[in-house]
Amino acid sequence: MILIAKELRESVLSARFAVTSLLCVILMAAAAGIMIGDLATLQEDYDAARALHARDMDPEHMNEEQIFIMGINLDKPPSPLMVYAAGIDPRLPNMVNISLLRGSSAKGGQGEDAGLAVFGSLDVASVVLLVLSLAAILLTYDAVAGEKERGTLKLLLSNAVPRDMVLLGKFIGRFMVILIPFLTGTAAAFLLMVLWGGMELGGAEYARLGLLTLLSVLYIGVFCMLGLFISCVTKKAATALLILLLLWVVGVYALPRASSLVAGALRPMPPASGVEAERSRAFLDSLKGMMGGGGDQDNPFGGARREWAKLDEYVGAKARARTRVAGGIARLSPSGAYLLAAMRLADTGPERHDRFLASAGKFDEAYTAWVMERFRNREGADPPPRLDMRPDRLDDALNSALFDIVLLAGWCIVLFAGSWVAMLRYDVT
Amino acid sequence: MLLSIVAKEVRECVLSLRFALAFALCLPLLVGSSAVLIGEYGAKRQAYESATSFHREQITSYPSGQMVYLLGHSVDKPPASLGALVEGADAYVGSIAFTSVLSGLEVYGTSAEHDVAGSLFGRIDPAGVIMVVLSLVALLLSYDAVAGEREGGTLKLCLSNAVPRDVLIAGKYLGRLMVVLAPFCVSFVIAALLMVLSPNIEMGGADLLRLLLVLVLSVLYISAFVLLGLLVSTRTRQASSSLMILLLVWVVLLFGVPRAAWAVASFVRDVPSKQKMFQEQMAALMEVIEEQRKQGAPEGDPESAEERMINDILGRRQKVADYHRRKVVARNDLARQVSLVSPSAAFLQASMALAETDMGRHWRFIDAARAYDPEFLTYIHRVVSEGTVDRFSMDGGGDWPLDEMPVFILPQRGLGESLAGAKFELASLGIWNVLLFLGTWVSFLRAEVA
Repeated sequence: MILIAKELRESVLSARFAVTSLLCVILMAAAAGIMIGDLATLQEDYDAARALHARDMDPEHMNEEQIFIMGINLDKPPSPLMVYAAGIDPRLPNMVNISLLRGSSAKGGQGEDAGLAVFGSLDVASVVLLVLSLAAILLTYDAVAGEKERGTLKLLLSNAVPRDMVLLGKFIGRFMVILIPFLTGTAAAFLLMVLWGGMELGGAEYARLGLLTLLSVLYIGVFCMLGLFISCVTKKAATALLILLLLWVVGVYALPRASSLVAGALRPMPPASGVEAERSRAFLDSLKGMMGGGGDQDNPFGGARREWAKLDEYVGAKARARTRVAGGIARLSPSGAYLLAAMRLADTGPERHDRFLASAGKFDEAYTAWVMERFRNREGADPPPRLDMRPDRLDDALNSALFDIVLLAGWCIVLFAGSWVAMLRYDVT
Repeated sequence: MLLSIVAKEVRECVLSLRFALAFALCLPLLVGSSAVLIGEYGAKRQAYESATSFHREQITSYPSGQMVYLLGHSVDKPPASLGALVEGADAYVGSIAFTSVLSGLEVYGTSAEHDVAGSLFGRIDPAGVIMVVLSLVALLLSYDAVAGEREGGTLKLCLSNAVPRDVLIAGKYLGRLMVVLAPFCVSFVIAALLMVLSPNIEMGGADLLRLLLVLVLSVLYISAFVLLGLLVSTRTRQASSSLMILLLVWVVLLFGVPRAAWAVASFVRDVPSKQKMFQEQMAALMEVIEEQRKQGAPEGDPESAEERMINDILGRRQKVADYHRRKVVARNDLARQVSLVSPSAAFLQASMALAETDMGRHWRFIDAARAYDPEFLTYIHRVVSEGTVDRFSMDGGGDWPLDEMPVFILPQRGLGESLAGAKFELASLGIWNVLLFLGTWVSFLRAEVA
């Protein structure tokens, strides 16, 4: 207890604590504010688009041009938790167009925001990923090596204090110090979301936010442990900091980003033009069949659309395999694991898009059947089908994020064990 | 005297652990990322070539001449030859422009759509490594230049000799800059050699010049961070607090400012949603169809009436797209201007402009595809009216004279234009260097030595 209190006092009064925590709180609040603005725009766009597209589906207004040529549009709602972790979802297409002539195709998304993509988005998770991990390193690098340099470690250990207690005290003390700005920033971000965000947050969202906060705490813990560990195996604080910064650059920046390059080289995608050629051929076969009077006259493009669905399935499976490889490589770094888990818990990862496409596919079947029915029987009183995007269940999300959470906990344990051993063997003089 | 100070600084740093770490970070990241991207460029090039030939021959599989209008045609954007150095915004936007009466001009094939893995964590390229890693290395090699010597007491000793302060600080700057540039230049030259020697990439003289300009730009950028390190170092008592402040400034300049600039720009300059644009384009199409219905059968020859209608539809759709594009460009420009505050954003934007991988290339591609359209449609019209290809037949289109089909070319931007496009960014980096140097100079002249 005394040790913890000492560490707390020592760190809290330092200038670096003041500057770091101010920066963390400001950045977290700013990130939340910016993302709330983004979300509000996306939500507005979604509402407006849905109102427009609902009119297209109105049986009174429907005509053949609409059904065959222009098609109807399905919209993907933004996930409210993108404020915490923007993930990849906002950059993927956010609508699917379904027409009997052209099949279904995904469109929209923030393609022309490439300038944004170059720098990455500023969300709460990216502040935790970059800034808080750096802050954790800066607050722990000198925990052991620094005291040794100053000679206070010798003094401390000459009392009847077991070394493991010293280590534990240091960890808990410093960890609490970094948690103060993190929790303040989190509280500020949550306050913004609740008071100003106009977000509809239900119980499940609060549970997710709680889990995301816990995940971030775990991630920060890994970097505190790393700082302690390196501090225990080096003689000088400056060396410890250098090594930590090297590890930070590799772990936070290089490894996750390189993972996609390596995955791209390991799992090449089928050439786009080949897929397009197949699609084109299937379509023309159907077209010729229809014009020639053969084929299924009720649903002339059914054959082509079945082949397209098969192609989509094939390409999708390849893309998922590549994403899995990239994720596997990125998970070597705690930052990769953190990002993947945060995306999963915030429901802004590729899974959301897959779910949207799957529900659009189901809708497509029902819709085509409904249109056919209407052609055969004009009086058909059946209401049109509705898009039913399955909500992401909390336990599903937790289940698939569990691996990454365990991974982060594993890092904590391994690093703690490492620092424990190193501390016991540490040469104090 | 300057030389001996420079030599002393270089000796001091080269033997330190930091210098080894700088090499350990710089060399594998710069060379590795460019090597992988060169491989990727080869794959992209191949995909581009097969897609181009497929899209040229595609019309021969259409059942009739008239179908070309309905089923559309596509042109492809070649990969940028310096993409292996600066991937830029070009890596995130589509590479196929598809035009048909029904859909107008649409660009698709963005990296996020077909390569989710590539967008999960962001991408890495040599320019990104320079932006993130080299700036950090520059800070690590300069943070203690003054504060460290002050702590060690050697500064006092040094100044007790007849060494003018301005020469000393200039020597420190040059020495530390050279130490950072050593690992950088070695890695950059290897990466550039890989690019030049790779059979995948055809590099012209202009490309080599661009490569050289990116090198100069990088030196300017790294120099700004060395100066920043010196400035903070002269103003702090302890080397460790100097590093602390520098790291926080670094995070803000690298990650905070550019992203916040985008947020500010999208807040100030509203861009209507894509859904709205699609809807308005569809409405334009419907309008033309409605008008046709009201007018009844057009007068005169039906073929030219059809061409008029197609042009009418495409023209109206283009108007909507132009409006949207103006909004996007206004927002992007504002974001660029705001982010000039950060040397990192200025560096990345300028290197994209110099390597021809910025958004300008995307807009140029769209313009070229639009300019190609009438040429292509005239060709179709001519072939159909000459009777080489059947207008309405259903059993294969007949013989298309493919060698007479106009060729789509993406015009290259001259080096001068690229430089002009990056002038604000270059000026920003220059001003940063001058200001930081003056600041360092003044504060070192006034610095307390003891």
